[in-house]
Amino acid sequence: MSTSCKTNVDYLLTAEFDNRFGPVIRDQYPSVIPGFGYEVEDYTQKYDVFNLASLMIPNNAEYNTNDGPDTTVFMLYRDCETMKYELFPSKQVDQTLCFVNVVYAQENELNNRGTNIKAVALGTTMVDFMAFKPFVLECLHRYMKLTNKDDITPVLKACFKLLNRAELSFVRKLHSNSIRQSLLQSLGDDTRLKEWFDEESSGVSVFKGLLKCHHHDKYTNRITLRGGKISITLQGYRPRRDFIDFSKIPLEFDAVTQGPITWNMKYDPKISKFLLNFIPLLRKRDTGGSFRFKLIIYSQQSKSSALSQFVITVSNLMGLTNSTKIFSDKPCITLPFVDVSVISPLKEYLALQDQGIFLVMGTTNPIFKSQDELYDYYYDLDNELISEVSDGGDRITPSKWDVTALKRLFIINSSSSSTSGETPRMGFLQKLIESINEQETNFSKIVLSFQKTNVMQLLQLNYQVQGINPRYLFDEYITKYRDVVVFPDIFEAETLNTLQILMTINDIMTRLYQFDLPILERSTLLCQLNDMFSEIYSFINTDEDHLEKFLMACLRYPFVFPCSQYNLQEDNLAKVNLKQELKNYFKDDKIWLSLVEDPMEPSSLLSKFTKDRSLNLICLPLLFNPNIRVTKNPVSEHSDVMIKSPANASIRRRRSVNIKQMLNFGRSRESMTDMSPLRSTSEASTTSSNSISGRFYKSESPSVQSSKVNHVDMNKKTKDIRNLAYKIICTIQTHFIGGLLIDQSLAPFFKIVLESFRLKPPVREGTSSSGGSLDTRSGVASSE
Amino acid sequence: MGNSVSRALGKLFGSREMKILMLGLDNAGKTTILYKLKLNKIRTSAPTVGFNVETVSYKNVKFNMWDVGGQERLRPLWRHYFPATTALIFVIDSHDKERLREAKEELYAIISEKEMENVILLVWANKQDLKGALKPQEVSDYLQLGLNLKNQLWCVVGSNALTGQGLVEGLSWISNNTPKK
Repeated sequence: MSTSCKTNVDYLLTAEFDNRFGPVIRDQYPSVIPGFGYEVEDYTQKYDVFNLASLMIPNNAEYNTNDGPDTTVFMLYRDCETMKYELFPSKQVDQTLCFVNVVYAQENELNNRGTNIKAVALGTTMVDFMAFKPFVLECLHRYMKLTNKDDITPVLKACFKLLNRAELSFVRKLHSNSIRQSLLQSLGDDTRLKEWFDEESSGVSVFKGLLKCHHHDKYTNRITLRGGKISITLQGYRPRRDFIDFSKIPLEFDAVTQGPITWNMKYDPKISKFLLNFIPLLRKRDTGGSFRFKLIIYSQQSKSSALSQFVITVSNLMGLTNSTKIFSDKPCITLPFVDVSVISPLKEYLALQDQGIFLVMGTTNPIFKSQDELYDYYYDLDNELISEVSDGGDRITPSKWDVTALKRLFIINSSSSSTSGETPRMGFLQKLIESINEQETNFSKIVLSFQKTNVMQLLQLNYQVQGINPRYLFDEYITKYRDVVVFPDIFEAETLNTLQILMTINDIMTRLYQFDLPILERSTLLCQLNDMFSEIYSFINTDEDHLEKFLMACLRYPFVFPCSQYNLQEDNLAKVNLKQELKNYFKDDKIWLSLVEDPMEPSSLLSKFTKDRSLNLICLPLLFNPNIRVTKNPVSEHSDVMIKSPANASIRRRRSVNIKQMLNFGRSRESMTDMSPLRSTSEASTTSSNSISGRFYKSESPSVQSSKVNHVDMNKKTKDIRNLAYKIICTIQTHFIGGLLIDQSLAPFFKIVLESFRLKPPVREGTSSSGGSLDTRSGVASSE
Repeated sequence: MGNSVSRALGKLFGSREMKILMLGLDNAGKTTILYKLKLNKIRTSAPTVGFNVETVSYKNVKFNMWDVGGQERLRPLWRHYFPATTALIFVIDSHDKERLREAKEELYAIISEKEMENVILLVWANKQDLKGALKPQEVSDYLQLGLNLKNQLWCVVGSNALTGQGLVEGLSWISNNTPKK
């Protein structure tokens, strides 16, 4: 069978440790991998099977007798010119083969050294290659039982045929759909993901929407969606009776991948500790084009599988797993597990990278520490210590540092806040990482908090005003923040635009809450708002990809912007109390946060930070009062509020009171005046609104053609915006995830409002309002 | 308690730490020696995939002993372990006469490397318990170290990893023949 893109499994390999020769490859099925032939005399071949065998039989595999088989992963990259696979990506890679490898050592009296050490690896171009691991284990189980004289080929053949008799193009499509995966990676809750992507709990619409396939493929294999996994029961090929066990293994792919290399991503405190150690050192590195790093993560105590997972996780968080050039066009490489056999070829490869490289690799062999050329940073995972090679090539280890360096390291490694100016600058991301509870394992939630941090910091870069070319924004971001936890998809033009729109809408809403806003300004704001909502509506109706891009940006838009008064690029937040910052933020932002914030909710910082703001923000115009009354005093030119602000209400105020106030749109001017004391609180919003106004008020807005303001126009604008908001929400709800998001993320209050709109849809554009409709809704809310 | 006293004495009288690289053909007994020294136990005879590294303390010296797998395909990787080595221990299976030449070739390949020109060499003529094993002197004669190593310190010691015979003597020789700074 040829190794075309449509093949689910490309290669099955077996290897064992030969007592005389060392690691050897026994079989390559169905054919020899181009570039890894057995002919050692072939000088056109950079590598040979020994390199493969060494990857399959990792260091200290001989001790792996009691536990189950250990797992490692490795990649081979195909050069599109030579069509040969290589250990490291060249400039012209057209295909990456990911291998899942399982290795086991078993005591055996027939072996003259008393132990059989064997491994089986499976190579595929599929992203979630770990889905095949149970099949590889079954092959290994059978391989362990065979003697040297037995032939393993029938086992490999049966497994290979079975796995390739499944139509997995829909899985490939889902995993390679970067927009959809970006969206799924932002859903922010592992448990919720499992519930949502389950036919039994979410219904068949999610299955159809997510997978766009039938429940049976052309080979009659059954496809189901269960607990966040796409499960395929392999019944399309019936192997010989000896191998029937293979067909009983369900093939299960994760619906959501966490990056181009994905493997049961878990967050544990070790990741936090690594990031807290690593980020301060990166801040010391050169800025600009010379920024790059080579990092070795070493662990003696971890099994190779645990170490590989750690490497993949941090590499994914740093955006370095996709081998695309992200920063100043430098290649990014992740080597989850390496041993000494890789040293020479890697040195040769690095010597060719004249632009530098981002490299992360894991090893259990401490001899790598003496290989200065291979790393800039050497992280000892067991002791949570990081060493750095200085520019001159000298290694700076904790034991060799001078007193100051030692002190500095002590501070870095200590999570306690330190005194005086010796404390290295601490950015927002570090503060957030510090606040992650050690028991917090919800990977999606933590990733979402990092994504929101990216967005928050990106927006504070204020790149539009500073005239930074969006093409170089990613580089600029890395240079300014040096956070390394970065999600390149945020920096795509359409996502950036959506984020800017959301921010502008947020600012406008805040301004509109002000009672004393001059009518002319209010009108201008409404025109801008109308433009924004029109743009969103048009964008999300382009196609499904656009809708998903929008939803992704919405999910990543921060719920709160703590520390917004600090310069996040320069200020040291070491002494900042993030919880207090959050409290302060809520005080300032209570004008509309009181609508969505439930004081009864568990208040972990991470939970608050990862809540949704954007969808609630889009719902906000549903509360607009179209019955505008202009004050008779021409001097002040004040109008009634467009939104009935609950601004005076303390966040802790009983919700029912707030809702009553919010829905009380149709009240008379006199009754509004009764609420005059509330106006003072609107000042709370002026800080942010003033700072933003100059940035986003587009006087050239097509809707602002005339300075004439009359209440009929205002009335129409208000209704238009309200209708657009409703239509946007309806469009989002048509999407299989959008509907779930609305259900999940929208504040209960907005859900009621939305429901009332469904019962009585907003008046069509161009028709006059009956005016009192919202009083009716108020009744609905009150009865709740 | 013992360790604490030892550490305290080490501080008082000055303790040393050195990297020892233990090489040799496969099945020569390197790992058995390492764990006999470290744990005074005989561990599994499974071949070494890659390496083992343990710290063995003797008198005031900490020997960071690297035991690297000796299979044919692993030997080209030995050189990656050379940097910062103080002493090379080459283990020979004195009973495996058929591979003595192979062992000699490998030994000379190592010591001819630039990085190894200043290391001292201890050869453990291992498996002295086996009937027909070559005596340390016979091994020494065969290796012709006196003839070929004019500028390097070397020593051949007979050993039996199972009983520990010759192991302490070997470490003692290394300790006595390396600079005490």
